[in-house]
Amino acid sequence: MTTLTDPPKAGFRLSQLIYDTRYRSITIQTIAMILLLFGLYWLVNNTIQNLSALGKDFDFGFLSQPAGYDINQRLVEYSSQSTHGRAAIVGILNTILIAVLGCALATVLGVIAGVLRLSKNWVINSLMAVYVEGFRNVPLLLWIIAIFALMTEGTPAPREFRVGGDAAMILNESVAVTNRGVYIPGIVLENGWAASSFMNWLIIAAVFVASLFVIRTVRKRADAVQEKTGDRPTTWYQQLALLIIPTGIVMFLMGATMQYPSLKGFNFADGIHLRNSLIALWLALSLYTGAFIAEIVRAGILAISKGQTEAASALGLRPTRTMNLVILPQAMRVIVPPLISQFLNLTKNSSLAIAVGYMDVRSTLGGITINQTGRELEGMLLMAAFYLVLSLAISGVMNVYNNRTQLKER
Amino acid sequence: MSDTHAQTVSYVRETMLPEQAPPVSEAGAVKWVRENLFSSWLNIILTLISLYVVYLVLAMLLPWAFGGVWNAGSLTECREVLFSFYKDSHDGACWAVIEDRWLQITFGFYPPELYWRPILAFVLFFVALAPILFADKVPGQLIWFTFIYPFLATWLIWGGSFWSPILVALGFIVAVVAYKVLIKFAGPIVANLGALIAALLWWGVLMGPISDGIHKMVGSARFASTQASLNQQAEDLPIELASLATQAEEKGAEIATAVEDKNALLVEMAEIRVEEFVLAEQIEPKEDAFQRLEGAEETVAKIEDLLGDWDGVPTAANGASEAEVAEATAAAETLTDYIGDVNSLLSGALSDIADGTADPSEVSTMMVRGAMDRDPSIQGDFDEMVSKDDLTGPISALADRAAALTDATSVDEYVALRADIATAAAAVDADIATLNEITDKVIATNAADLEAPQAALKAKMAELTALRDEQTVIAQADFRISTQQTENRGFLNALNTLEERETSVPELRASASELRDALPREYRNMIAVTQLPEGASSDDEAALNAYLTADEQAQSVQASVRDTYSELGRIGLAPIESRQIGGFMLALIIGIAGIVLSLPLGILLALGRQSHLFIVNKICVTFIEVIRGVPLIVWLFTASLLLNYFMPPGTNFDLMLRVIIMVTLFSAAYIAEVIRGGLAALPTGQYEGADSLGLSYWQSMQLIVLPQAMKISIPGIVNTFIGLFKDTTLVVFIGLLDPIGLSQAIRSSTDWNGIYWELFVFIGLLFFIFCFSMGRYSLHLEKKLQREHR
Repeated sequence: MTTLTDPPKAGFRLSQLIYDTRYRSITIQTIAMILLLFGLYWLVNNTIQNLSALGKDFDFGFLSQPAGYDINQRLVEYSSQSTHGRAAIVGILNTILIAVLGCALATVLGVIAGVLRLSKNWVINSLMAVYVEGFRNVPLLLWIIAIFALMTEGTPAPREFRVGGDAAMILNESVAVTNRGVYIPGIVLENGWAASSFMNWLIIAAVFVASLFVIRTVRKRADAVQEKTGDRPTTWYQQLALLIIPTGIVMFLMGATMQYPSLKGFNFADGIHLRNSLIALWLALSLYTGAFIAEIVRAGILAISKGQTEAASALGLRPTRTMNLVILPQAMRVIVPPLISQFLNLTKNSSLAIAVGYMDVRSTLGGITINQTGRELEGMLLMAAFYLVLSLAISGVMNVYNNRTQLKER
Repeated sequence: MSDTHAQTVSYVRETMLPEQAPPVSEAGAVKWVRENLFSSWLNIILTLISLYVVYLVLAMLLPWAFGGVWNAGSLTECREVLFSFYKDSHDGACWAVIEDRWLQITFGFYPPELYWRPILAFVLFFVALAPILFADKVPGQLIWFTFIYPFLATWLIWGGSFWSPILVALGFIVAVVAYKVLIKFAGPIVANLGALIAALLWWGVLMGPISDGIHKMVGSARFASTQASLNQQAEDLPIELASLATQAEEKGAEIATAVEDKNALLVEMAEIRVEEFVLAEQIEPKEDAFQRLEGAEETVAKIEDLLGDWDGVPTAANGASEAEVAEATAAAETLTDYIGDVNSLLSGALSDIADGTADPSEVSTMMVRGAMDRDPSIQGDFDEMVSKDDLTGPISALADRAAALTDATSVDEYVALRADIATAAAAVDADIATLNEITDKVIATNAADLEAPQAALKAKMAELTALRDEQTVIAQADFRISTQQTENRGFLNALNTLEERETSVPELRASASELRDALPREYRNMIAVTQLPEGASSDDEAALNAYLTADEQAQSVQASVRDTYSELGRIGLAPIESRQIGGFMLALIIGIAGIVLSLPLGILLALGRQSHLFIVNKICVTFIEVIRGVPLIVWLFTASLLLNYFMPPGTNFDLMLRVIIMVTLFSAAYIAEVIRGGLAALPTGQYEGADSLGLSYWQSMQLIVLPQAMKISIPGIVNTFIGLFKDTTLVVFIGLLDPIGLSQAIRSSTDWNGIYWELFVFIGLLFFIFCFSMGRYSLHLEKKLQREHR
């Protein structure tokens, strides 16, 4: 006779911490935690020692002191009497500006180049291959410097635009490309509702976004009608009107007028002055990232099997509808995740602004402010935190989109 | 069915028709072109546009690149040569800067006589790589070389005693031994920790004194002989220097003669060309005048339009509305402005021609006589030209008419004025055309005369470049020997005072510790006077200051003794300082070191991120995301500005080492993500299979998971490396001399001030070749792996 016996109920032994898998993970994590805490303590302790030896403390008070330096491109009001904190905000806005502009242009360039690279036309696809390989395999910094040199060395000086000079404005006398930057027509709000022009533009943008939402509702209603009856009501004129009219009315009420650049003395006045630093950085970032996006788009389209196209045409869909309803939604799934990381890369690479003197956050907060106040530690921490938050925000937004378009699997 | 059919058909052909050739449009190149380039309207347009773009770019680039100058000593010389060939110095590239500085762009300021060391290290890199990439084609024992290589390469590039890398490598052996010993008594966790501690102990505590000890031993044995040889050298080196100085002088004289010859040639060519220059000077003001006349014509047309709109001269209309009056006033003002413009344009044109040009007879007889002798048809062209007065006369009449114009003039007068201006402009234009024709002929006759001096100039420039190269060699030798001389002097000095310094060390330390004991207990660990609390007495401050000064002195003397011994006792290669390393070599060193060092760290991070241990997982995720979320440039600034804050007080290490540490941490985060992809791509069955065999975590990782995951990750790792290699250019911002930094340094030298594109093209091309070939290799690997996994 055998009887079932309970397993021996031995008490907890110390060796179980190492040999028993149930406890070992706790041991390992405890050791890791201790090592981490010790390492952090060591770093913080060293830092405190070094700071006190240099007679410095850890204090963010410098952000409210007057900065005392000028920033040549500012989206919000700023003067040399403003605070370091304000300078940092101006830099942050400049970084965001170049990131948004760059992402937009890079996507356009990348999609065009990616699609053209798949063309059967040998001349076109090899031209695109040269573009893609040329930009992917040469450091971005070199492109930025080269395009900047091209903009400053290869364009005429403003005085050449005088009567009888060698240069002329392009696009019906509205755009001037000079070695001091590009001058384009600008819209001026003569009687805005808010005090600062930045706020005025924010109001206009809000109206525009609101009308986009209304357009979406119109489209959804059209979808619902189509679901019910099979006929889609014609809504394009409603959509177009919604897109233009509300924003147009607001701008008209604010007294928006076009202002063309004109030569005054030795330089251009009026209009918008896009500095060479902005143009060079923007073009270089977009062209460089566009080359990577082109490869992503190409891979995304190639990833869709031919059967999809064939099945779509078997259902009687026309080629444009096949592209819109069958190929693109599927290709987007492959394209979006690497596209997100390209956008992140572009944003981070915008810190190369230092090469052309574009006043981004690294030049204001991480450059002049640090040099003037001697607050390297605080400045670098703030800057790293800004980039981290920006990166996480971009990847967060794009991940929401990604989750929405992802294949719903089991 | 078929039976009936067979009967109804009366004739069936039994042989095949011979195959016919396809139509021309459906075969060969024509077919290819039709299908690929011109298949649809859109395609045709795209093809034509891109062909045009290609043509434009090549038409600009090819003559520039291939018409470039390779032999010149400075940008000015380059432009002289270009000018003598093309008349326009922007028509050709100045590749001479590359010829002059390519070694610098490649090696930075590494001593030229030691170039063999980095080159050897670079070649051996491929040998070390072979066992990893081509494991099936090379003997397995070669993997040992891969392990040795990092130490060997460091030693080759930075130099120093041969035992230093060996002692560092011994640390790993110590760790392995400690592990093997401990595993017999305790579990793997304890053994691993023990190995780590043993290795850290070895590197942190034992290695330095051992190395110093060997240096001291060797150094003491060599003391006398070194002193003697230094004394001998102190006598020999000046003689060598003197002989070099005479050589340099001779070479300088030779170069001066060559430069004179070159200048003579340039003068000769300028004399031949003088006719062309004179003609160009005649054409230029006329072209200006023509442009102004055209401008005047346009403005008059605008006036006509304005007058047409108002049906006569705009005046404040009687009884008209206020708005109309205002408009009329504005129009009248515009009209006045326009008339002012016409006036100034016309008088400008007049003065252009009057001041800038000569009568055709003067030009032909005095200045273009030489060309006319060779090509008599030129005389005919001159006869076609009108005299200066014929040009200025009408224009001055026009200017007078324009000056007399007022608002009250009728439209007809403006129409007539415009017609006359057009006539005058046409006359000037015709004159310009004739002058251009003459210039073309003169250039054609001069071309033959220029051939000989141009060829001579080319030869002279080549000779000059060779001479300058020799001069550089002499200058380098001179620099090397004079540096050696200074170093020797310092070293001899150090040797003479060595004994004294060595004996003084214990005394200094004793006095420092006495001063320390005299301090209040709570102040003894301070490292700066600023650390004293607010209320500290001035006596305490003075005492602390005295202690700190004494301590610093003791340490510096001790360090200087150690330095002298390590110089004296060195058996190995001459040491190189990091700041001498630059150019592509720097990019390669940072890139390769970053990837190699970050691989193990990246693997650990990837495993940590996949781990189920909560804390380990969160630590790894935080590290990876923080590193990846912040740009490399911020990390580099952190390395240059902040890393010293995080280290124990008094640590101060090389900027390049700091950069390598930062780059390693940075790329480790990226590599971790690549390897995580590889781990995720592995079927779960592999993990489960390893578990079911009873393998422990590390065994299963080492034997089953990682080998497969790494193989999948190799293309990603190569891509990370390409990215990292390109990103090494960012170190220019913290003051290291990478290729771009060197290009700026070259541009700021007097010889090459203002040169851009040649340097950009060269650097870009080098990066391109490197990155492109690696990219192709990674594609090849991807394809190969795909095949293996099917």
